[in-house]
Amino acid sequence: MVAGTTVITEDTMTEVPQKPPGPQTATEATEGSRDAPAREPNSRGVLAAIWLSVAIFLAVLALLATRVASGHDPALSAREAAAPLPPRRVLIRRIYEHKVIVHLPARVPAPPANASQQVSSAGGLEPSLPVTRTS
Amino acid sequence: MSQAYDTTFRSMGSDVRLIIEAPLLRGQLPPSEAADAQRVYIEDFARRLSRFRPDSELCALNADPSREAPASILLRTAVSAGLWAAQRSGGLVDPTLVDEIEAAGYETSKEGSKPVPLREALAAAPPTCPAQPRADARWREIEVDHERGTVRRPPGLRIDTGGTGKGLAADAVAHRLRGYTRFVVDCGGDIAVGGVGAQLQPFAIEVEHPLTGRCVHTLHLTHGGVATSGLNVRIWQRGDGSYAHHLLDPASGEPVWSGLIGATSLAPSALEAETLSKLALLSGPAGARRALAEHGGLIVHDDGGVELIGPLDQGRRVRAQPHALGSAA
Repeated sequence: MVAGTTVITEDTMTEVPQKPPGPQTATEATEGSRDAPAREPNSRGVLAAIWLSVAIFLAVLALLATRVASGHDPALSAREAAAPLPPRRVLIRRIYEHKVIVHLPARVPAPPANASQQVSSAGGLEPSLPVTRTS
Repeated sequence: MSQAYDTTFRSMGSDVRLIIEAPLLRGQLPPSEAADAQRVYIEDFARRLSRFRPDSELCALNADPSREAPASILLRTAVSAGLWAAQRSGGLVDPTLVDEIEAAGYETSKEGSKPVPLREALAAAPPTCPAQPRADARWREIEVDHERGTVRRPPGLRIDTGGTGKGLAADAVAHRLRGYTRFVVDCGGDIAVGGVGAQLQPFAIEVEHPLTGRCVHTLHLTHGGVATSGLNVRIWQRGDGSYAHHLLDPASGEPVWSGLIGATSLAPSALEAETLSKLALLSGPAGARRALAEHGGLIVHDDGGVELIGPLDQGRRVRAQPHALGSAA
């Protein structure tokens, strides 16, 4: 059984030869390509690719411009998402303002700097003023 | 003009006047309610320390036969004030002259009674002589023990806090009103002034002449006290025709005729002003000049002449006009 298997293998190798393409084959292929225009399909494809790229660029540019104009800057949004700000703290302060308003009457002179009490000239009693008297 | 509450009522046998301006801080009583509270305080003060009310704490102390008697903090403070005045005046303002003042005819309150004309009393008065302290200085035997809450004194020695009561009351109320911008406490002419506003706007206080009733000078006070003692009030005629008044010579126990009929003193407190004004009047002109030299004041001579003393002295003596004296006396 082992010898029989070997024969079959040899037969197979004989019936289907595995040889590399020779020079003749390459020449035939070269002659056949000279008959049709070779560069035309490639130029059309390049132009189409360029136009397609420009169109996609303009479309993306228009989309980004629209989002930036509406306040949705992709760059800013990305940053906010990466580092969210802490919630804003609001401190409420109640401010009390005390005002002491003193009205100085014109007829009462200010006390001298070196004495807190002074005497003015004699006059009639005014009922609105306190009076020191014998009690 | 800032709002001021001004009220007058009767207490301690005199007109008591309170002038209170706005409080310094929120949460304090408005001036009107503060005045009501101080009125209650003054009336309670007068009721508990009256010499004429048998149910007063002072009368209970004087009636207690023991050497050491319990006393409230108010009574202890009033007795302490009387002792301080005695010390300050060298014994001339003596709180132990209860027997003498009653013997002179001042056993009950003179509230409502009309005083006799001072000019008549002066015409009948004995020769002028400055008062002298008692030789035995009985007031030195009185002790106030705040820890035990008692007053110790020789049994039978009665105490009169009336000579310093109004000044003490004015100071106490002024202390209670220290949270107000500006105030005056006038207890029958013994006046305390205070408040930060009074530093900027002093209170004008007029000094009344004891004979004419007119203003002889106007003082402008930023703080402290002013008081006047005189002979024109609480003066009466005794059964023997002689005249008496409430300011006694401690040495003789008789009303003093020192050559002065009025004295007004300025001082850091109403209590000290009251003490100095009494000291001045009891001491006569020469002693009054010494007594009033430090804080200032004025004296009124028997003839109605007004003399400024100490810081108030402007080098002049104002003599009242004879016709003015006659018309008002």
